[in-house]
Amino acid sequence: MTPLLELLEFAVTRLRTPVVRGLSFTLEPGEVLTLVGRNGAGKSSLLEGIAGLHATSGELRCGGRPLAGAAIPERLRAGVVLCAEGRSLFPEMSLRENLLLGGYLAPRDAALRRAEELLARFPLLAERSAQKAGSLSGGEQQLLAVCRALMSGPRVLLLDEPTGGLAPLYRGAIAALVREVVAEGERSVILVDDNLDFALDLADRVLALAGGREVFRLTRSDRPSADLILRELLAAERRATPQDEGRTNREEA
Amino acid sequence: MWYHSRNENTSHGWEARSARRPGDAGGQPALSQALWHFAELLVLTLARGSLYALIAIGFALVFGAGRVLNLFHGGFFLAGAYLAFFLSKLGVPLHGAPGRALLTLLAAAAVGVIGYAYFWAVVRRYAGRPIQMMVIGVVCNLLAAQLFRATYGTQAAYVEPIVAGTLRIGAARVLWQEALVLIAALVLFPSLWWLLRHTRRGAAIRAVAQDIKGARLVGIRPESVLGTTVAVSALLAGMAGALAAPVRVVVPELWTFALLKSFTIVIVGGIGSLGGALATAYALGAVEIFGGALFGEAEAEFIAVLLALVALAARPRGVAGEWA
Amino acid sequence: MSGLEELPRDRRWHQRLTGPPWQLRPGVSRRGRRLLLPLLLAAVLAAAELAAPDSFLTDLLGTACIAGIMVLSWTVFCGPTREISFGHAFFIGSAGYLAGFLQARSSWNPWSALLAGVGCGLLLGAFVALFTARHRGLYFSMVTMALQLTLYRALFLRSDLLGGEEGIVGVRSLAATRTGIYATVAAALVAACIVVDAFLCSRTGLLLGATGENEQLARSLGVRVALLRLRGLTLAGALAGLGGGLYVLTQGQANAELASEEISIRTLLLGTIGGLWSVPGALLSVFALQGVQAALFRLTRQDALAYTGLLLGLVLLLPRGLLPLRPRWPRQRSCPRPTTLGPDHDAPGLMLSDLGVRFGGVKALDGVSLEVVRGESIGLIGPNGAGKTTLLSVIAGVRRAEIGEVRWGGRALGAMDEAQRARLGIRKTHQQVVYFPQLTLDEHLAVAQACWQGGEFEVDAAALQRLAACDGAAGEAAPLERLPPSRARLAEIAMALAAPPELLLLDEPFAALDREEVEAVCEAIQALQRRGVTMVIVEHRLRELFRLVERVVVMDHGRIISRQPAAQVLDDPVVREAYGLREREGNAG
Repeated sequence: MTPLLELLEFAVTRLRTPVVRGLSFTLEPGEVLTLVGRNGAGKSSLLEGIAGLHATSGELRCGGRPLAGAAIPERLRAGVVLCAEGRSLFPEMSLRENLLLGGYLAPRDAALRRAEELLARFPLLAERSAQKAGSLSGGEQQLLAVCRALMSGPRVLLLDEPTGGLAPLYRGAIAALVREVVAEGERSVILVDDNLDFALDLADRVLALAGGREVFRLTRSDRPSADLILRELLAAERRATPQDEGRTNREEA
Repeated sequence: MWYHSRNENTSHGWEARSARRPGDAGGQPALSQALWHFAELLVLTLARGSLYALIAIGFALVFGAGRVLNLFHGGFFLAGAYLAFFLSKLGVPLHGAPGRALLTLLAAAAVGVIGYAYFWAVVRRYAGRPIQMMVIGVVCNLLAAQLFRATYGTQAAYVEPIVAGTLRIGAARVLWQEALVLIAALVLFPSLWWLLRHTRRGAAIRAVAQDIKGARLVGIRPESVLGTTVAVSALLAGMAGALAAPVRVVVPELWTFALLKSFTIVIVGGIGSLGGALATAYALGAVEIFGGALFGEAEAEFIAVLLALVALAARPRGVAGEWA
Repeated sequence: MSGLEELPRDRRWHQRLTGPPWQLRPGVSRRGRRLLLPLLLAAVLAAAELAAPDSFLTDLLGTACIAGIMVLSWTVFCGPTREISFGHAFFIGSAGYLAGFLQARSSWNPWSALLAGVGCGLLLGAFVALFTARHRGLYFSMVTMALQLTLYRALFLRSDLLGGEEGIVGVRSLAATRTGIYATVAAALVAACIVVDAFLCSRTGLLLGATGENEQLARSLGVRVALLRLRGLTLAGALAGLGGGLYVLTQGQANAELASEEISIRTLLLGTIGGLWSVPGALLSVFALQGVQAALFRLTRQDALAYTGLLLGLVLLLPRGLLPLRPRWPRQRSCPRPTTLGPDHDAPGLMLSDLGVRFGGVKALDGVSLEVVRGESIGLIGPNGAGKTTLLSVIAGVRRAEIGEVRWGGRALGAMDEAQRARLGIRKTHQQVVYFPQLTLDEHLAVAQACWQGGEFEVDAAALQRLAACDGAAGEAAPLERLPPSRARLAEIAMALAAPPELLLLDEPFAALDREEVEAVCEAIQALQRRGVTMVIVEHRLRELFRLVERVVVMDHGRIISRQPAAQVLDDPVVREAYGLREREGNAG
């Protein structure tokens, strides 16, 4: 089976600074990959780099199709879609219009059909389809953002902080949606979320970043837990920082 | 005669040729005469407001779509007026009202093309540098004015109205050409609204104005959207210029008039707010027409800028605030 | 309006620095160098008079001198603040008409009339500063433009008094001879040049420039923005008044053109084409373009078209202007105005009582009470969204607490804003990268020191050197916008080091820094601790944090859930649960 997404020596540059360096991994169809790391480790930048928002170097392929340097519409057609942190909805437009814009590149009737399907799937959203996106609750907005990303028919869905500030009810809905996306074994998801329990629960594999580089990987068989991840990250940091004598080791005393 | 040559009392060389024409209703009772006079002023207000709105709405649209303050907007208006003049002088075999209406449309379309060219040559490259963009816009205006001066000279150009004469409704009389501005606005604004609401491109324009990152992520290219809006805004301003040319004095300094009015309207109305711009345009029309009838033209202009200052003092971010 | 322009391509933009960057550079030679420009100007103007007395050339130069004063008056405010005044003719026209009116109608002595014009410009400048206290960017441009239009319209309202389009004629000149007029305007330009340069290079000029670069950051350092703008606009108004008065009192008439947008636009164009923030640029553009205009007039009948085309070429090809030389500021080692002698260790420290903040329905802070004694450093940790940054913002005055009270040094801070609190010695660093884009690291330090209210002190040069050396010496003289964002983070710490506050609130000082940079920041923080600075540090990198603080406060869901000595905090079951740590960390270290 060919991998769905391939990264080779992939690097992302923002504001003249490399924020992701020398990253190589592949993503198989039907897989959820969770990225972990501290604030500023480069998780969001990696997703945005794959989606085409920043300058990148190295190779990037989706289903064998080279995407490095491609414009965003080309990436969308190849099936790479980012649901960005902070949602980036269009606040003055109705929920329905937001959804339809998710299918901006698709033919009009296909987009309409897909929007109907999604609205039927989420009665919660269907009820408010005429309401302005800006007036929805945080959870509804997030659900809408994920649905908007689904409108373009993604093969690789990049989810950045999908549960930021959400009530458990919506967290469950989004988890179910992610499972549904990968269920048929054709599409895959890369997930970044502050809520480690949520993110690890869905993960087939875990990739940890620190300072823009990969520090370790785990698979489901490692039974990743929040505890394990934090411990490993701390250990990785220790390897990176040479020990100062005495005064630095308070927390280990 | 409706028109007279350039009035030296205004810097814009801009004087409505139809400014003050109280209703000709000699034999009627005073009350009815006052009512007809009021109705006439109301129609004039709507016509003047429509003209201002035509000029200003594109200015607001471009700002919304690209956070670009396009000061060359005054040049678009000027180009519309002069192209209407040149086309009518070229001796194109188009006569009668429909022919002249077609020429007006042609002039507006040509200005739309100029707008797109301006986007391609300048806006695209300098959109990220607001101060430079402003300075370039001003210089381009000056250059356009000099070009027209070089091709035609300083004296005022006269353009034949599409429909000559006055429209009489009861005792109220309005120049047909002014009524046509109103009619054009009645056609153009609803269609613009419809286009923004119901077409793919319109949705893209609004999306870019509301969240540019979100717009990029769904596959919209903000640059091409900006190109469209600059062209549309040029088209509208050109249309305004071509429609206004027969009732106004066409001189190269006309760009300052258009620019100052649209700048005032858009900033007072709240940058990027289409509704705010529309409302402010008609309010400005009302102040000028009614103020003009009550106190005189110069006084009305003075009152209008004074009111703009008061509005800005009370609402430092514009009457309608930010749109997107 | 910060960071608006593209990165500078021109190397001349950077003054070359000599010697080791962290040694004090004596400021003696600078004043001498600054007088070069006015001297050169005076020499050129005098030479022209000697070479061709009472000629077309001197007439031309005289006109250019007046235009130069107007453009300098534009540059003095619009340069540092990056505000675009669209209505400079408001000052010029008002002052000109007043001077003309007083001379021609009330028979004032021309010099008194000139003085009245300057005074008029000065007052109007102050008026505009007050009017535009809340207007920035386009709104500022709009206000200035509307004021100019108001004046212009008003001139026609009282045509009987002011003469309408024709204006006031028959104004007696300042000097009887052509030479006298020329000498007067030339001297006025040289004087204006000295004044403007002195203002731009002064502490006020520096802080005004910092405000133009990043008003938010400037406020957080304690800059009195309103006062600075008042000073800048008053000077700009006075100079514009001088220009307008001179014009009327040398040309013999004040016509409506003087108050028209044409003058405003010309001033704006010459100011920006020279280089927005550059005195030599302004002078160069005025003289060069005046010369070009005169030459074109002789060469071609389409001189106006050619001239405008040339202007367009200039603005397209030279985005930063003809001579983009902005003023420079050296860092000072000690403050010129000693007031107190360092932090008072016996004074009460920081007292927070029962703070509460809501975002929508969510409680971001919920009954937070905390005391930090003087000279103590505490760590503030907790999961994302726990309210740590909100707490720091409330202490710094960026955000207001709905209930509760913040006290510092025994004083309730109440409704004080960020700048007022900064002047009390409370400063917060930012989680995002904030900086003054066009200023160098050295100038950032100069800004911090210009805001400094405390007494004389020795900057910890070693720690500062360490911070500066992180990136190699590459970026010493470069504006920060051209350097990686991590440099801007270091610059914020360096500013604290160069002008230490009494209470420093650090919001994730190590985020996105590499190992070497983290070490340098740690050292800087320790240097500040030795000075007795009180600190609250929010940080995720616990290992480094625990090196710096004795005591750690843990927050979750807007509440303080634990207060522990740093060594024990990870043993606390409440903390472990909040962090999702269920068992004792195993074989770490």
